[in-house]
Amino acid sequence: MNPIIESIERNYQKNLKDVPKFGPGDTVRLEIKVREGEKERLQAFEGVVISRSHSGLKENFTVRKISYGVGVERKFMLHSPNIASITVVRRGKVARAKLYYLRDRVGKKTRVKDKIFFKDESAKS
Amino acid sequence: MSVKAILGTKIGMTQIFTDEGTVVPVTVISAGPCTVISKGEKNVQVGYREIRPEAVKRLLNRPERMAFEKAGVKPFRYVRSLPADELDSIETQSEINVAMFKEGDKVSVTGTSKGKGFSGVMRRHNFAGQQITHGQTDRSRAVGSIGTATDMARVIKGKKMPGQYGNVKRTVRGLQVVKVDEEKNLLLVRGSIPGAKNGLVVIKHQA
Repeated sequence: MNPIIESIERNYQKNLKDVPKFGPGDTVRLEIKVREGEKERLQAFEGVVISRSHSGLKENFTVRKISYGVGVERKFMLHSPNIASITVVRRGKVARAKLYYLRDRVGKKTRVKDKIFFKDESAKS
Repeated sequence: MSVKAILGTKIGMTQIFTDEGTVVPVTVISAGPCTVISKGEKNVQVGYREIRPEAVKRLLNRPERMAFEKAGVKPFRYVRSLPADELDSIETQSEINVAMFKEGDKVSVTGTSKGKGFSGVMRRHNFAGQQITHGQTDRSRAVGSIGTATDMARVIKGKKMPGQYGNVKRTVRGLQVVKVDEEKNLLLVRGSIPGAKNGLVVIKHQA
């Protein structure tokens, strides 16, 4: 990318150290700033990350959840000032970068397997 | 301000966030600084993009070099005439820069659009082309009829036909200045502007 454009974009980017690492399959909980007239409040959105794309300032991700039986997907800009916080609720084990196959599934099949971490050998057994 | 326009180079497009979190598409223009070479009645002649000393002899002939020397300025790659008022307050050899613009200003941007070569009517004028069925062959992108027969015996002037598309001077008006960076001589303008990257553009104040 052009170095001048890169330097402009950097002014609007969040420090990636402040954003938790997450990827497709992970369940995240977002707090989104919502403006209602004069007031501003936080709205939560929790769901499975089904895609993450682009890099730099344009980096974005899609979160899918089932709300009252209806599938809801929202796409967010990672560096948007409207995202107050991102917390990873659960890590998922997936074999794809884009989990679009979840859209065609209903009920139990929409579950994503948990990723299991081993801190040391003793925890393994 | 006295000079009402500036020369610049298109850098490219990106997007930025406003404080409210909305995304704004912007074109980055590296504008100025330009040096005033001479003054006319309602305009000034300015130079933009200095030529390196070692390249001067190669790029300019003697009369051109002397013209810069006489004006007492460095040789420039681009010399253009820009609109101005209150000419008494402008001095030759002085510099103009992006400080003449501020956020929220309306500007027009003039540049040379990207050349698309000799194009057919479907690309150039958004014609629909013709059907590929009913026994037609090799006519799917054709112009079709271009007028009447013996009754007029000529084609109306300005009839849309194939030809050179692009590579002409184009102006986009009513663009909003989103940001001014005086330090780096950068302008961020909302929306797209004509031309390819690294193309010369004129940014004008809109009254």
